[in-house]
Amino acid sequence: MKKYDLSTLKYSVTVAIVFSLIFTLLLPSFAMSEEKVTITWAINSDPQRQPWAQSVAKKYEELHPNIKINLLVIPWNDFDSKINTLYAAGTPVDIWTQWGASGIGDFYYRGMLMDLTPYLKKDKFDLSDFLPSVVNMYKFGGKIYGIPIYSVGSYLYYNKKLFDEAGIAYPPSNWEDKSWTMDKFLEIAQKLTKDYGTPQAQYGVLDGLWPHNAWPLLFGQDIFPTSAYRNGKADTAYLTHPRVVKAIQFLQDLTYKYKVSPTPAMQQGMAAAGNPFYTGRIAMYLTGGWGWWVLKGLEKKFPWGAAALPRGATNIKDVTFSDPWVIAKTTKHPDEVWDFWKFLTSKEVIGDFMERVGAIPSRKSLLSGFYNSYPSIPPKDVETVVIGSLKYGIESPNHLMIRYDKIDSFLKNNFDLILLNKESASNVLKDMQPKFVKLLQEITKE
Amino acid sequence: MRKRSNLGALALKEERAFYLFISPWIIGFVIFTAGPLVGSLILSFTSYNMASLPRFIGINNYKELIYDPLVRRSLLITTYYTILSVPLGMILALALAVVLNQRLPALGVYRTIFYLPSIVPAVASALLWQWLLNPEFGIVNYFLYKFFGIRGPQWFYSESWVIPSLALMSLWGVGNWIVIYLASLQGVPTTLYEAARIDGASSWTMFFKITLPVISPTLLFTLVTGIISAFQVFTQVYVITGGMGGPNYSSHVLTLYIYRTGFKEYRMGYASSMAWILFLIVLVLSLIILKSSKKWVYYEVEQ
Repeated sequence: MKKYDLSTLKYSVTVAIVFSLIFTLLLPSFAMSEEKVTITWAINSDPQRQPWAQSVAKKYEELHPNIKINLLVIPWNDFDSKINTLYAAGTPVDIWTQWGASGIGDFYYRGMLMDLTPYLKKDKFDLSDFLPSVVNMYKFGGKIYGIPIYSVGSYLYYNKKLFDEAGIAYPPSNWEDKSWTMDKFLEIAQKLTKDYGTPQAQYGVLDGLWPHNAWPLLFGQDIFPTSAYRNGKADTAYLTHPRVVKAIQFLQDLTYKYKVSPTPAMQQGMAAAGNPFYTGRIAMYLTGGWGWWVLKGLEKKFPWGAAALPRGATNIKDVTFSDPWVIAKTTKHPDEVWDFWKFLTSKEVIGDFMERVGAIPSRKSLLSGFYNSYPSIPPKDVETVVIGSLKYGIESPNHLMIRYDKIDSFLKNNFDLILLNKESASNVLKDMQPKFVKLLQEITKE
Repeated sequence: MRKRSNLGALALKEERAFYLFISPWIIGFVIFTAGPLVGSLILSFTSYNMASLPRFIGINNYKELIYDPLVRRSLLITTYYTILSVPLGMILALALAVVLNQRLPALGVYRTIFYLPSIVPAVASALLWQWLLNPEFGIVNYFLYKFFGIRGPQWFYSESWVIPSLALMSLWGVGNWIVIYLASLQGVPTTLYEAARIDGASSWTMFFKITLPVISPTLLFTLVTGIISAFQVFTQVYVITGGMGGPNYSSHVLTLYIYRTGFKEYRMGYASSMAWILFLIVLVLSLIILKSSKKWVYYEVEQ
């Protein structure tokens, strides 16, 4: 009698299920290797960058049928982890830029970047169209590792409506205007601040300048030595320099003495819609050039402009941010990736990026297109403020120094004492200086 | 009872089926847990910046972290957070469980309400509490001022209040423990209470002399698991302080230091050594608690 054995059935079914599970897990590795060359391109997940990147990848694939662009869209927080883990695993991202927290310096000093100089020479790549400030920006040890596709400075963005209502003249877009001092800036800020600390307050100033050398630079003194930008590391710092102390004290006073700027808690309260400047209750917003694309379209709400940063000294500098495409040293297809790099750095693609995303192009021939992209600002004003910001610009230390993140964490945590009004700037900076120098000197510890 | 000799083909088949069923879990455990554990132990004896191969450096990482003031500080801060959040959480959860153990109308509604916060994702609850505890515009300070006339503290913006604020936030999510305690409470034999009532015991006496001892195994469980997870607090701190552990390092928990050291500073070896020290500390703590549990945990089986 053949009784149907239930346990055998259960057993067979189990085996079948388990094996099919394992099979589906292993399936990807069975995929036939294509004849196409795959280039892995990483961008961060930005709502404007993603559609741009997708269209660029598609266009390149159409022009080069044997190339497949594997576009990785990575959230900002995970960007560096992904780049590094893929590199460590031997399957590097072929081409990317510093759209995470790490700067190009961090990638260069760990030997991850391909030297582009021989390729630039071989193809006689025309560098004449590029802004002079960017060509040598990512040149390390005499070799070029990237050429920025855009370069933005730091600016004072202002709400034209609030200025008009108060009958105050707009701040100048001309960086040569020596009358635009911190005193004048403070005076205007005071006139434009109302109902301080209340939910309906209007603030004269919102500070968003970064990194922490930005304010000292406006008072004529960097916190890092100039050698740090060339060598990637500093062995000294100038936190206790009188100009630096003056700058940071002024920053603290803006909030707690002159009361023209919101406290961090008030800022968080205004940040419901994103940037507090969007609320229309900030008269002047000092921040880096990402403002050009972050504030794009805001003129539908209220007209806004961009001005030069106020001067706390005769010689001031503003921090610039310029991002280049870089190629992994261990890329498996250097020639193909190089060709893609040229495509991304071409006038057409940079122009497209500028139009869609809104950054100051690094190619001189595209600048007038940029100047005309802001309906609430006369093109001549855009031109003036941009030229000046790049003329007096110094590239951000986080792009050129090793492990800037460790520096940033130290500066931010210690500055909390100042920005939360726990201590005077002078006391905090004095306390920080020896610890900071020690940190800088040990920063290359592996 | 089956005799051993009868455990023939059928038992063998079942054994094979057992291993097959469990193989996905074993494979997963090896690949995602055991493997990385061993890997990070090995890495902790190296210097590894992710761009080049790991370089063996012996116990240098461990030597370094002994002298690293930020490691000490981070450990203290993490311990402070644990000491605040775990006992308070247990007391609150137990109190609520006792209340919810009554025969009250619409009990299911209350149980749901108290349990819901624990399933809110950590990031969402962090953002929510950032709003609630905003010193200028948050509801908590608003109520404090309106009903008690006191100016509330600066919460997440204050060096002394940031850890208590994080502990307060964790109390909102005790729903898990309430459920566990409720189940445990319902396992206490009612005969014990009846006998005690006959002897004239008060509610408090019954609570301390009957309830607590009988549910003490559950208390031990939540104490140990609570400590283990409190020592690893990360997400809320990361979201609220922007990954910085501020203000001025006052919320700089050890996991944050490990994360920054590994993924921002690219010192994976040093980060691994810190992770292992954290593991050892939590392990030792758990063992101490388990050892001491013989004195205060009562298992019915022993009677």
